[in-house]
Amino acid sequence: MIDRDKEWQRRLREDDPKAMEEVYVTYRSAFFSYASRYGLGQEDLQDIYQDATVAMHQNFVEKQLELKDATIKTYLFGIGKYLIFSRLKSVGKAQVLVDQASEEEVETVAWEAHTPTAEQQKLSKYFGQLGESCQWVLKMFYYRGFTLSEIVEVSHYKDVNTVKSHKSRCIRRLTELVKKGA
Amino acid sequence: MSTEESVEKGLKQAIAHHEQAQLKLRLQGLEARRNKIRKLRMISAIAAGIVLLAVIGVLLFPSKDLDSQALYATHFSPYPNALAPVTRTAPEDTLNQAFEAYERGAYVEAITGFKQMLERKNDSDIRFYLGMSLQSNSQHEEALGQYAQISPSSTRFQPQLHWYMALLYIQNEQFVEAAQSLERLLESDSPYKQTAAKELLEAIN
Repeated sequence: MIDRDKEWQRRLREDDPKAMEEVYVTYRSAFFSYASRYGLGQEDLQDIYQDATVAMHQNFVEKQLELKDATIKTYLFGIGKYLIFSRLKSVGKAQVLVDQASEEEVETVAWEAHTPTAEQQKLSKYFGQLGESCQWVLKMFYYRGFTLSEIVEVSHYKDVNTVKSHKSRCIRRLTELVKKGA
Repeated sequence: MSTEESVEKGLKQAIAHHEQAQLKLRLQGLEARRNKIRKLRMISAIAAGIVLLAVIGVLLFPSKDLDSQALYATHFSPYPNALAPVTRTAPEDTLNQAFEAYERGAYVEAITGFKQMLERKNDSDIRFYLGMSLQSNSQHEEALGQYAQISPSSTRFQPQLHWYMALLYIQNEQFVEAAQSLERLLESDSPYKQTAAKELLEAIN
């Protein structure tokens, strides 16, 4: 079980979406049964569980997270709990939190949501319109934080200069798309 | 005015936002597949109920149950010994003895041998054959437990691992997990069981 957890963590750090799906499926029932105490509807819980799973995945990728004293399950449930509390607050059911707080066994994991500006949202939309290779190289460099030489190591590009010029072309293309759409 | 500099500045957040949406879509797709399977099960159960009413006094199980067992039985056969050819010259060797037992279908003996070896050294390929022996001995849950401990990249039997895990999931009616294992097999470069995996995937989807 511990080996499986570590292996999931490694694959999540490497941005493997299949690992995210496996975690999602494995703890789905347990999360629904845990979260049912908060009186949210099934659709809300499903939405929250999906958001929590995505947040967990992105935290592993962006922060290269290694859980020392927790398992993926407790970490995932912690984010889920945080999102449940946010949802309850937004619908004015804060009292439920007070009632439940004393008997909680799951620690909340505060999660910084990606709240992009209007400009970034637009950029995100045009990023999705780029070709596959542009999306890949920009994602590796800006989102996953790979250096140009690390990108060379994991790709078919022959050297750093090739990656660099491809990246520049992609940024130029993206800037053109933003300008056209502005 | 958008310049290349300003585009670069906001790109990390923009890509993170894009990724967030893509990952959520993936999970929504997964959920939709689960619902489809649930509906199929429900339809199967209703169909079984109708047959039950028609054939009073005869106990029938939902058709999906029968299908999953039949699918498993049709596709399962123990994977041959491709790791250590058995030789008669070194009978005292635990590896040799375990594989010799495995080859003649003495799975309990093979299980003991493979476990002893794993106590000495964690080896993914040996663990695969421990899982194989457990599965062949109808100890399905234990087999799955052993397979789950294997990191796919650490074994030369990666496609085989996905295949046998998929079969165990089908046997246990965990069709979503089975589909995932089959998809991972289909994504691999190996020609192993590609046609059978496609057929099986269609059968459970």
